[in-house]
Amino acid sequence: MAVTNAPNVIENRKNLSPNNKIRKFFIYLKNNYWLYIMLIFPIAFLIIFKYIPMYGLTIAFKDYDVIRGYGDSPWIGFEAFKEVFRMKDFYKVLRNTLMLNLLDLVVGFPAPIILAILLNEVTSKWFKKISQTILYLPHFLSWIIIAGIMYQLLSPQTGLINSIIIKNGGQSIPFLTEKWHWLFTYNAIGVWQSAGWGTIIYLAAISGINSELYEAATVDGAGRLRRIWHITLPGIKSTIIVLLIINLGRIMGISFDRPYAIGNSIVLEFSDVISTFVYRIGIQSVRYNIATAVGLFQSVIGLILVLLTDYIAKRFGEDGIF
Amino acid sequence: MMKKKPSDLIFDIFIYFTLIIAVLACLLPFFHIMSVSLSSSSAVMLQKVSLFPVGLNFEAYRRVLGDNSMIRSLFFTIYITVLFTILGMFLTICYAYPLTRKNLKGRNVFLFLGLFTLYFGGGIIPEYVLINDLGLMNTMWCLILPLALSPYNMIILKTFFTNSIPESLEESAKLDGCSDIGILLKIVLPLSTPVLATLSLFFAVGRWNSFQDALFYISDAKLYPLQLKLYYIVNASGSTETLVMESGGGVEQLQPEVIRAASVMFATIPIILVYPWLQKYFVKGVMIGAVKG
Amino acid sequence: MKHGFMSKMKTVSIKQKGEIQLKKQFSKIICFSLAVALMATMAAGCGKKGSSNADNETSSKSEQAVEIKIPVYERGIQGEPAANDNFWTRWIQQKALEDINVKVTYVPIPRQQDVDKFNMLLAAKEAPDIIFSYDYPVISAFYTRGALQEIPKDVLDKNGPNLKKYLGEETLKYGEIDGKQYLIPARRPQSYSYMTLIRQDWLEKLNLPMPTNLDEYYNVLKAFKEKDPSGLGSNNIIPLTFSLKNATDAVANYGFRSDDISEEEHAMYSDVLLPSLSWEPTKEMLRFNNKLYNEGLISQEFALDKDGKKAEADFMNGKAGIYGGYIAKSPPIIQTLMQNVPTAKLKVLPPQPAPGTTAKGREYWPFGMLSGINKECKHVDAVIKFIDWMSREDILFTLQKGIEGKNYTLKDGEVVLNNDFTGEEKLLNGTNKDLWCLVTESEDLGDEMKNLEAEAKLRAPEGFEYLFTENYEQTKKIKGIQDFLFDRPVESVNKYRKTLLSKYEEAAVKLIMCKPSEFDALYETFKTEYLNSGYQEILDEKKQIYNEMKKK
Repeated sequence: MAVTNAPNVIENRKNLSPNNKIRKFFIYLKNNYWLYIMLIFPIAFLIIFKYIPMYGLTIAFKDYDVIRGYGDSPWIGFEAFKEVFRMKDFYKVLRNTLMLNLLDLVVGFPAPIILAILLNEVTSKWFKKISQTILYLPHFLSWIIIAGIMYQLLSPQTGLINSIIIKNGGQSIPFLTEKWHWLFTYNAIGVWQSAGWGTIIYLAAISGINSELYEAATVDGAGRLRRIWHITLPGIKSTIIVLLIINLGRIMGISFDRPYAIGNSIVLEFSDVISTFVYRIGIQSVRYNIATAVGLFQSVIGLILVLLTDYIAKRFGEDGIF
Repeated sequence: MMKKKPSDLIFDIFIYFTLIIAVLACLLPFFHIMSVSLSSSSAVMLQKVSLFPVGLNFEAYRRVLGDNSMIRSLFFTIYITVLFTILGMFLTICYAYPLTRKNLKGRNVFLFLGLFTLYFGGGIIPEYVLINDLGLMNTMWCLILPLALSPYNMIILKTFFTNSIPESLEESAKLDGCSDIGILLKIVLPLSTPVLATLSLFFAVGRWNSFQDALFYISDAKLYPLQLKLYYIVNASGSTETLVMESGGGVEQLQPEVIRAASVMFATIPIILVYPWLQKYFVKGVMIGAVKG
Repeated sequence: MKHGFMSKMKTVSIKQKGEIQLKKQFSKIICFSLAVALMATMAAGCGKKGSSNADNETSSKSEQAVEIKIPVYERGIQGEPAANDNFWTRWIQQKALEDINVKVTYVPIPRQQDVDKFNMLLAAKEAPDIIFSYDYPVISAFYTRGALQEIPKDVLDKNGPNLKKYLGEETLKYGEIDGKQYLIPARRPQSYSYMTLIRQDWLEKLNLPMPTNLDEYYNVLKAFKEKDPSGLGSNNIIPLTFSLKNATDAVANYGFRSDDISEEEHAMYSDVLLPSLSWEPTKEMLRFNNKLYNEGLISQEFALDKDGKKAEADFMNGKAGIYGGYIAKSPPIIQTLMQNVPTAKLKVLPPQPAPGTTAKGREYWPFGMLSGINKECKHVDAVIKFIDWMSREDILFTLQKGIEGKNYTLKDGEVVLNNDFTGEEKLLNGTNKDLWCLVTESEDLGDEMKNLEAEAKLRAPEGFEYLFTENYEQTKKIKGIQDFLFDRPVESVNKYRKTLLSKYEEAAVKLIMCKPSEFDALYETFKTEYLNSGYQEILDEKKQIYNEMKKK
């Protein structure tokens, strides 16, 4: 195989006149054309399916109606944004969204990591395989189904848990009917639903760690905990950081199904979030520009957060996304 | 082999204990759904079923499994899931690998193009108009093509490539005259089986579980994915009020809870079985001996 | 970077491994390409669209036939065929082509996402020729946004003579906006399926007479709770079933209204789709419900019962004394109750007005489905012809009853329904309603008593037809008042309705669950917020429109 045109040979050339620059560029292409050919496919998909509809973002700046059509809808600048920012409820749902998401991050982000590490330490193969499969079952249930089960379990009088408590003379616990308790319940259900599924990516990352490192550490007399701390965790550090960055970027976004199904009017003060707000104001009232404006707001903040945390990660010497 | 320290033993107990609780927490609700699906309709309506079937009968399954449209939907969903996964993996590899080459010109631009779409999107109406203009409406391709490109999966793959494939392996391969694509095929991919298996699972489960696109794009019932049918079955019950008011009050317009539960089991069990089957790929990729130097 | 022995070893093993891997990769690539090529061919073969209804036409008439697209709700109920392609849609298509030379294509609309789907179709310029909704504000919003076109009087006269006769002037008038005909409302014969039932056996056990006013009603509920006629234990008794739906019912306050409310006040505050939180009768109703809640006469978990299923379960379990809901064969609420408590006896509860007032109640709108014509529709005449055709007696009869010998048999000229029929001709969802809803809400035999009988036969669980008769009699005692119909859409309603519904839900729940001493203060807080969130604007606009209407 030819060796002469290795890239590092090119880099050492000192001649940088225009002709040479162009020549350098073409040699670079000749050496790397495969890579660009590979990139054509995904970039084409990106452009067609993601960037062509991107004009929809500008709906936030128009008095858009599907019947008039996009072209005939007049430009209104930031009016839609102003209208949203004037609504008192917007700040409430903003606060709730951040609150719920931060809670999810603090509790729900480490949970699959810990679970993955625990699973990794299990020696019995069949126990490992079975528990992995069972742990991710909740991921497959829709929130409506989950909510139905939760109500049967946690209702203040007739729920399974509370009826046992009451029978034994205790006081019922308002899992779903008192807003702070509800916060905890919402979070716990979320962890239950997603932790098992989240372990899969970490287990895959763990399996990429060189087993010799473990053998060497054991020989050196390191116990379980030290092995985890010094080998497992560092081994999956890059995965953790990347996922953390992406998730931080999602802190402004929130799904619709989960707060809608698990929430109720008693705890509306905490359970009303941006997604349910947009559903009411934007979608159901057919005011797509409001819905788009809020979405745009969420996206911009999300992207800024991603770039910011990526930068911070880099400063700490870690590989970020870029 | 090695002597078990007492702290190890305590740790073992802690691990098993925690895991067993977690497993039970995840298993019991499923048990409940299964029991509901095997109970009699009236027991379920009276909300008397908790962990074990009451009035055991298989009527719900008889109806669901005997429903041709459900079976057809099952096979159709498997079919598009497989195609979707293959296309998705192909695109993810094509996207992630070049971005791991640090000397690639335009690397950050390409990466940003994808990352941007993780947070910004055109909205349901423009996307609908696009699918319509492309002539994909009401075909199986609108369920496969639009979502096949996943920047999220690409970032995961790229991270894995960069951090788990030792540079020295690639260096020596280069010295032996391997081209970039050769490195990809001969070294990087074989060593990445765990993450490739994971991402395949993500694609498959992602396609299997979604129905929002089919809800609006598909009007031919033969092309309904299973989860869309399930969504209707679970949601269509709504309130008795709507049902009776709008359905003319005839004999059979109810969606019994039992049928809901049986449909959930029917739509969920196939995809659950994929992971155990994939687990054999979660061992480390083949490492060719120690790499020293 | 060493070129020594080790790296040579590696080279060898890499190359060997490489070859195997390369072959594997190559074959994978070839397989994939073949697969893609295969799929592409298949996709091309399958055609761009899925099976289209159009292929079913064979008659040569189809060359000049006018094509129209009609929406139909897709409810996705397990066991039912596709809403837009089944025996009955095909029957309609064939018959319509034969009879009036109109080629019909059905467009499925997911029931829960109907507005979204219509909007998407409109955006893509693919919307059907009819846009419909059961909700007046929804369809009037489409009108305001310019999605509908006027139905000229002469087009209606020429193409819909039977329809005009069938609907009658009064019903058709409800389809007018700003004096012009924009909607075709479906007829709505009076329906008696919604009833409040009381456990007569409990009354008998406690020697109580049937209550006839609000005070007696309250006393009966209290007696049920304290004296426990069911034997299930006082703690388990739920005298009155109450769910979130009951709590947010916008027109449950009739029992608290005084007898002399002016038409203007009625127009402003009485709206089935928008609760009037700031109105005095609503406040009193909430206060009453608060009393019931605090004394344990309604479920303490009502706020979590979003779909009313818990209330149904309480009734079926024999725990409840009074239950309000729609009665039909399915869901089998009464049947399950009888299974559980064979000694239960049910009667329809008479109206319970506040002492000193007369019994009042909301009279249903006399229309059902509201169909508007898409602005882009090029064949208004064909659409009207189609709806007209459907209102024909023989067509409606077949659509509502089915095929003789299969769905029903004739015994001495009387139709006997074959409820166990499972063939292809089975009526969709039991009644085909989603197909003939364009013209009527239920079977209409032209005579009130005959309709009642037919409704009872269709809906009542076996042995309980008497409930429908009783409900009819009790309803007759109530002075029915219709909601006021404005001659144009109230735009602020469209704008704020969803927000206000959510606010009302929160307010009602909190007001019902709070301590009685806190009620008044809490009410004032919620009332102010409600008005500030758009309700005041709505009241003002309604008043303005009302005054303009009165001037004409």
